[in-house]
Amino acid sequence: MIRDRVAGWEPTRRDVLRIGAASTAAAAVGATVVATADVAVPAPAVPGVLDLYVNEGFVPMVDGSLVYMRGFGDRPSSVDDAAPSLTFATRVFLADDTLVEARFYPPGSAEPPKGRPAPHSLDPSGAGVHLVHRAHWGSFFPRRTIVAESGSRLRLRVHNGLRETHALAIQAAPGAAPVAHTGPVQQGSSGTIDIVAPAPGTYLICDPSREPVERVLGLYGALVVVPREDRWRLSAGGPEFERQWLWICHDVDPEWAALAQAGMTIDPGRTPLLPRYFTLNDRSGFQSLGISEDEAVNSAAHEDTLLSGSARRTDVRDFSRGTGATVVTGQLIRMVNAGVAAHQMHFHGNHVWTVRRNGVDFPRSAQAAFVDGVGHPVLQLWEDVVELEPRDTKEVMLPMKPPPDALEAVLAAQDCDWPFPMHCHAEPSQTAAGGLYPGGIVADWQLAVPMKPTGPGGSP
Amino acid sequence: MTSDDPSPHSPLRRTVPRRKVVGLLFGGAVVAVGAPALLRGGAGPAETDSVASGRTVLSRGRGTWTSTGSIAVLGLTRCDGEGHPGHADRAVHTDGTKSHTSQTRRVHPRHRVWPDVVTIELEVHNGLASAVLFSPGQLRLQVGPDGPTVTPLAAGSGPRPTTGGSTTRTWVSFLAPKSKAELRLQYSEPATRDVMVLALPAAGHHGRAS
Repeated sequence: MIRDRVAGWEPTRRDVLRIGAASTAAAAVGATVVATADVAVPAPAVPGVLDLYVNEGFVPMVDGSLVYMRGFGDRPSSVDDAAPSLTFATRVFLADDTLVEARFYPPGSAEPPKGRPAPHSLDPSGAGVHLVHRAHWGSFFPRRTIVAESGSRLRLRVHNGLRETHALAIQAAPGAAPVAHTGPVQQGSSGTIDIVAPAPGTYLICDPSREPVERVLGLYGALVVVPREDRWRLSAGGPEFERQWLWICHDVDPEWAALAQAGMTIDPGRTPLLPRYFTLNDRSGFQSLGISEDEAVNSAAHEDTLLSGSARRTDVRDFSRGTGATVVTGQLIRMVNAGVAAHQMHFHGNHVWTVRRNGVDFPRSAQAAFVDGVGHPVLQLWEDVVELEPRDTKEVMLPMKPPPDALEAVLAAQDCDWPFPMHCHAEPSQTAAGGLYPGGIVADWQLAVPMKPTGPGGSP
Repeated sequence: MTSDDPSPHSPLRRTVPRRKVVGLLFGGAVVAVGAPALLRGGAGPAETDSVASGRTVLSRGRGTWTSTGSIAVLGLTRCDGEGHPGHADRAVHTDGTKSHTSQTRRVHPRHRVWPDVVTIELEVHNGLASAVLFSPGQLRLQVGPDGPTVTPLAAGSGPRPTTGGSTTRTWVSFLAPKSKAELRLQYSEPATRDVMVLALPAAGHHGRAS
């Protein structure tokens, strides 16, 4: 909650013009008019502190259109910057209170090639199924992610380079009091968060100012808190996984963007939100599917978005079935909806097992199950469509079972990777630019070609 | 592959004149200096110019002046969509010559409703001292005077910064219906939110049917 001036920022000619226009309004509310808007001087680094900058700029959409957006960047940048910093590289707060930049966690674990964990060995219990490595493969996370180990000290410093007041909040659930909040940060000032990492789980990071406006304009991210002694589980003693994934959904409305670019107040009542672009981990359509002409984009999509692995006989009654170095479990997906549309993540090939919503584990027994106020069953269960309300977080397990409806002869004939689609079932989100299909929230997951038995024990 | 571009008819454009928006951002004095540079068009050699969008345009290239330099249409080819790999394009240049050849960049599955592929050669000049982001998606093909605008099918490169003072030649292609509808090329400038209409030369038709 401590706010201070950002050292080293000096005004430009453009700032002077803008500040001149803003000074009347600022004086009316007694605010201090400070001198900065577009100046690219980062704050002096402090060990263990993550600096985030509230910036603005233009972002290419999936159809190439340039849309004005805002974002939490990792360096100060101006609206004229040809490559503005509107997202931040993944950072990890370790339990020893050190902060490292790494899109891969846990440090020192094995990196799955192209995101796909290789299996440990064939499962002798059946043909074409595998045992997977226990606590072995690490996970790639998309930009905008903060990973924190439980018990770590989470220290953020948020620098506002824009004219309006901004903030950063960490939220566990819509409507609930934030876990942490910088408080309002005036132009040219900084706000801080200094907390012990909250309970293991998934959190939405956003600017709650003028809700939902700033979130829609791009000021969002996610916090993943991992149990420090149980890094391959959702929570201490919770569901164990082979590797984990984070999907951050977002919606983009160029009309709102144009209003914000013009410095106008966005009133959702007068200008209803009409998203025109939909993103998953900042990608849409062919980019999200890793089939673009940009190999760097494709590689990142495979590493941090597109689930992949070998078939196994996951039993949702026990996600830790196995002994020693092997386990039979699935891959965990953490979903965050930073947008305003209700998304419906629909999986082909496998159903997923819903585990948790907004930090609260669903009950596993019918006796403890109930129906919430809007008609949703609250129970761990199989779903082929996972509803994701705005600002919600949900964790589900993809079991990576052989497709249950496939005939044995078909399964036995698998001689290549099998991709299965994942798409949002809210159909407008499958489009871009008002009609380009499939240009929105799409992904896929792949069932790898089975290992070949080479010896009596079944191991290659 | 087609969609209506709402921007010319958006509530913002109806209710907020561009001059007012720019005024909100930069003040009337800046508009007075920058507006002539924004509104002037036409081809010409590089020259020093005044302020546009808060930044100084140091030079211009061929074609239409933009807030960051200029953009020129060098040629246009219309293919019937039945081309094959290695098929040579003939571009029709704005000066009327037909000498330029280049390889078809890629072959897409034929679109049975809008089977034609219109490929436009461009030259983009960044007249600023600093880099500017250029994206082929800033260009949309309008089919018919009141018709829809079309998202690019493909382009010479994806979105990327152009360095200050540089001139970039590239191309962008669009699907189009097999009709005689007039084609126009729209160019959007994100910084000023202007949409310019660029003149297109007559199409050169070819392909198996030609």
